[in-house]
Amino acid sequence: MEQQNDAIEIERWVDRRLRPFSAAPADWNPDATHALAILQQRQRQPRPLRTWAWAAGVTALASVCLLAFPSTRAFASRCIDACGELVARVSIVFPVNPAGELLPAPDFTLTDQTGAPVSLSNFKGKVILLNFWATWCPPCTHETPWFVDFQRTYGGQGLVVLGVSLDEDSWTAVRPFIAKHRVNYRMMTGGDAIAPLFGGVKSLPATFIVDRQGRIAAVYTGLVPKANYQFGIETILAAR
Amino acid sequence: MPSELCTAVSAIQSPRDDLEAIFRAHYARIAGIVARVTHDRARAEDLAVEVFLKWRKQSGKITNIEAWLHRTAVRTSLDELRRQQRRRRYEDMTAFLSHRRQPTPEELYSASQDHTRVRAVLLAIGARNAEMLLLRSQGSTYAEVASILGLNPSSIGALISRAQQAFKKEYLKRYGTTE
Repeated sequence: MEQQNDAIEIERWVDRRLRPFSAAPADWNPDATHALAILQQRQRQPRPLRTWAWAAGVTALASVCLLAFPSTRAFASRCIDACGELVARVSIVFPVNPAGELLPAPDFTLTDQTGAPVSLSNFKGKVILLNFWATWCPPCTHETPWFVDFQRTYGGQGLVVLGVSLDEDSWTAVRPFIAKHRVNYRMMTGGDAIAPLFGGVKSLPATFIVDRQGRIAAVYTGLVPKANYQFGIETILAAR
Repeated sequence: MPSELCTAVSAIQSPRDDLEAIFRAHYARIAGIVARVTHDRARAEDLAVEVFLKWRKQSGKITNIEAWLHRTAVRTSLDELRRQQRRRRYEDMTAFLSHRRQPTPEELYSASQDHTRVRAVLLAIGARNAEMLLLRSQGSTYAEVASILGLNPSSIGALISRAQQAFKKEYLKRYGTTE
């Protein structure tokens, strides 16, 4: 009887502790349509290369070998944690030429929402985040508030965000979008004309970060986590 | 529409329709489960999509979709907590390499909160114990917990009771207070 009372007491105590986990967040209705669009887009993405499986296998084998002694076990555990962290956060692809140097960003001139001409060469010494997007592309529109945030946060440190729309109906679609999302950076249309300069921009969104020397320092394709952009921007802003 | 025709229509639905119908029926609930555990709504939405992607990859083998989604949501949430814990450990480990900023008052406040403590304890008592307690806390009956986790229904009461004891013991060991 006493044991049963103890068990009931413990159950009540645990229930009190876990109460915050029992109620759904108030006033929250997750957007299933938007999430479904992301799911379908991710389904269309090709599966990761098998080389990753090989790399994981080799890493696992090395870890098993390292499990022989407590000190090596601790070392292996820390290595795995560090690798996991790096793989998760760094998804920057550095496009380089055969000599191992970063490629120069091709210059172009387009017109922004105010009618003023915009060229990459206008921003020498700045870090440029160049985003190819379209209003009909849900992952692209998902990223727009991030870029607004980046322009606000990192603008003072020398970041310039530029958007290039690939919409066929040009400003008719883009202007209402700019107004609705309070876009605080320069937006251009006519991306089809300059896309070939950037490798054809085969999938959207495609984002290039140009460093202070005018070289393409990072390329992101598809929807990537905001933290990856931040990591790239901060790294490239810090490089002198 | 006659029931035979309904069955026939549902039988010829494309996999895409199938995905969409199941996604719309369960997404909000799955995202809610993850959000309750991770306490991060934006991340919960991403993780809920991950759950459905996992389901899609092995949908042919799954018979009870709802139970599978429920179980995977809880496991994914615990994995996320573990990932956050690993990240913190890594940051602490590499703190000497960089000029790491001091924790903000908000971070210090959050660390002292009970839900943060509960998350740490859940990670320490073993995955199965944590899964059982989270499912119970979200209103699942003993039979449902047994069904979702594939455990023997006749022993689920004893297993949950042990999990609760382990939770309390670990909590008191770490924080030394009952309230």
